[in-house]
Amino acid sequence: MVSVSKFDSNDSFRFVLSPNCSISWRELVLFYIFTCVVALAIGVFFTLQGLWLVLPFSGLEMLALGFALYLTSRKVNRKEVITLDQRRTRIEKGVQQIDKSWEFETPWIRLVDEPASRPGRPRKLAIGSHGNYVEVGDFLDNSEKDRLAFQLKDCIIRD
Amino acid sequence: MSTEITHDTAHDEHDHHGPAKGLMRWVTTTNHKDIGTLYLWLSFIMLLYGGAMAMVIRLELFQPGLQFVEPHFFNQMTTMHGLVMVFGAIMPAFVGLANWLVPMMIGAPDMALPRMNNWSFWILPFAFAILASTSFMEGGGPAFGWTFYAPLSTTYGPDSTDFFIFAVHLMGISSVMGSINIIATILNMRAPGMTLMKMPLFVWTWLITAYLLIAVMPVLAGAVTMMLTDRHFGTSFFDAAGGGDPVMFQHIFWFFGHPEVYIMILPAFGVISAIVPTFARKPLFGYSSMVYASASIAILSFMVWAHHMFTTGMPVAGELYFMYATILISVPTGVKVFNWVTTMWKGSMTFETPMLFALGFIVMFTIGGFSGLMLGVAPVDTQYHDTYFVVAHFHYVLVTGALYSIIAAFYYWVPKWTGHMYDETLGKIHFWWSTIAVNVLFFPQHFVGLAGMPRRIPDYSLQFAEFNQISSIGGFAFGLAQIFFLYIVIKTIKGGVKATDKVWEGATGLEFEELPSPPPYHSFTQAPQVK
Repeated sequence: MVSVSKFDSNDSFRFVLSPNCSISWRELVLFYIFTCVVALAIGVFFTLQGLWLVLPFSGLEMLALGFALYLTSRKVNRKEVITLDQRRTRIEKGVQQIDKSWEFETPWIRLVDEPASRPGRPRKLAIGSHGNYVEVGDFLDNSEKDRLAFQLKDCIIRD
Repeated sequence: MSTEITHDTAHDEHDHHGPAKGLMRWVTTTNHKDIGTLYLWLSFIMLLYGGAMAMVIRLELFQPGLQFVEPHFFNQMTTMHGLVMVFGAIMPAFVGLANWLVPMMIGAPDMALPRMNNWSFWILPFAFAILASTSFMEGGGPAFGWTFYAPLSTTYGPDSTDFFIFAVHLMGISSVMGSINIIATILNMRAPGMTLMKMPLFVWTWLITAYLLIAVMPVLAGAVTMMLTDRHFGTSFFDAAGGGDPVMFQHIFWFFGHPEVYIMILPAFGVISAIVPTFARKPLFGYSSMVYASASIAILSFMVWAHHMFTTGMPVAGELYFMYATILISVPTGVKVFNWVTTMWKGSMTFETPMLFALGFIVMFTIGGFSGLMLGVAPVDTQYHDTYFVVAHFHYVLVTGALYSIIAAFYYWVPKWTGHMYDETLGKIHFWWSTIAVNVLFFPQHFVGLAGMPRRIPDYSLQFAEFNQISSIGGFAFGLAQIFFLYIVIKTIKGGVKATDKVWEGATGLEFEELPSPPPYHSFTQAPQVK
């Protein structure tokens, strides 16, 4: 998913890129809480019957499920933010905070649009200058990359 | 100008390579298709292993008296046959189908946690090797039935019981990891536009199955751990002499065991819901009611466990509750059968092998469902309990139900997987051979059961001889039919008429509409747009 905003009066643009996310963080947390309630209720029920050894396994399993859901949701909740103004272009990548960032001088930047190696394979978009390029939106599908490339080129030329 | 692109994602270039070469491809693979193939082969090997034990059982029961094996060995055969077929053949086969199909059906490039996927498969061969090795240990393997009731498995269990407990733990870990993976994949990795209510029924039924597995696996793990502590650490969870309660073992076992039955049949419902519309050339009737029926069956499966225990002595109010709750399950199950029949109504039907097996499923699973209804009636169950009627019932559900759906799924999707059509004539021979044999095998068991022949015995009264002979002949024929199936499987993998991308005229779904036959090693590296 690509969203673009023009956020300043002096021709600055921000592109926020994020992969397709088929479930929101809130829905995922609700699902997890519901599953924990069911699994732990079963464990508590057997504990009350004197069969307490079910409960530790329920707890362990819920920890494993929580960890797995957290890991996979991190993958789909990551974001890339490209901020362009007349002087600087900044690329930031991360999940809930900025994990990595790059900065280039806008007048020098180029957009590299590498076509797919074979039909059905993803093409690559990269932004950078002087031989140092950062791939952006690797999780986007080709039509989204088309749109992103068009909009980025438009901004770069305008600047 | 040379450019150096900074890659900070783990999967750059990942999609450009094919499978590794040689044996290590299968050991180290994290590809969902490879792991699906491994699961399916393991389940076939286990089917033949469990089937070989069934042949020993039917050979011994061919006539009254003891002919070939000792009673203790016979008990080992019935126990191992049940364990291997449930945990080794049916469950891994459905996990194999899920591995192959779920990512392709929801437009995902792979499972959410591919390394864990590899691990959850590779635990299983070791678990079954441990289980199989118990047969060669002093005192023999487990001989207490697949339900491993205490005190047979605690006070009187052979030394090998500890290995059995370890094997069950390993199988449980594998199942839990597989379920977590399937849940994470379905929730997080659906393609744009693939909303929950657009998912194929097979994906829905697997999501519900994975949820059931998550809910009940700790109960199984707890049960076998308490068996272990009762055996070696001086606890008395199930030992009446120490203040425990052996009947509690039955409660805990069936609290796991009854949902387990639905774990083995819900994905089958998903398979049939994919095949019937294709060959009726009509969309599935009542999609949303199918989803709600599957969820209802799953919820009810937690509330009916004690119908397996009517003869242990429970208050009449308890018997009434479990009887009514059990019979209630026939409502959502009936909805499913009604929807399949209505899908076929006025459809432009053809009867290729997958459809034949699907129709066989609908007819014979319904027979198994009806005998289940009879067993759910508490006063009647007092007569039927632990007889061959029960054996006939659950084999109609698990063989002509679960196994038939797995075979139907193989014929339906194998052209997509391999790019080769199977031999239609051989497929039809396989269907008719299996269907005649399986009914010769299990239908007479209703009669001997109603007449009072108990299950799990190597010897029986003379009046049951004819029906047992018929049953054994059916058993040998059914076993041979599955060797014939192995030939069809190998022949299809090695070659055959090239399959089209859509394979079947009426096929729908991303795997048929968006991917070639066979699909590339890494499919959907670009998410498809779901309409």
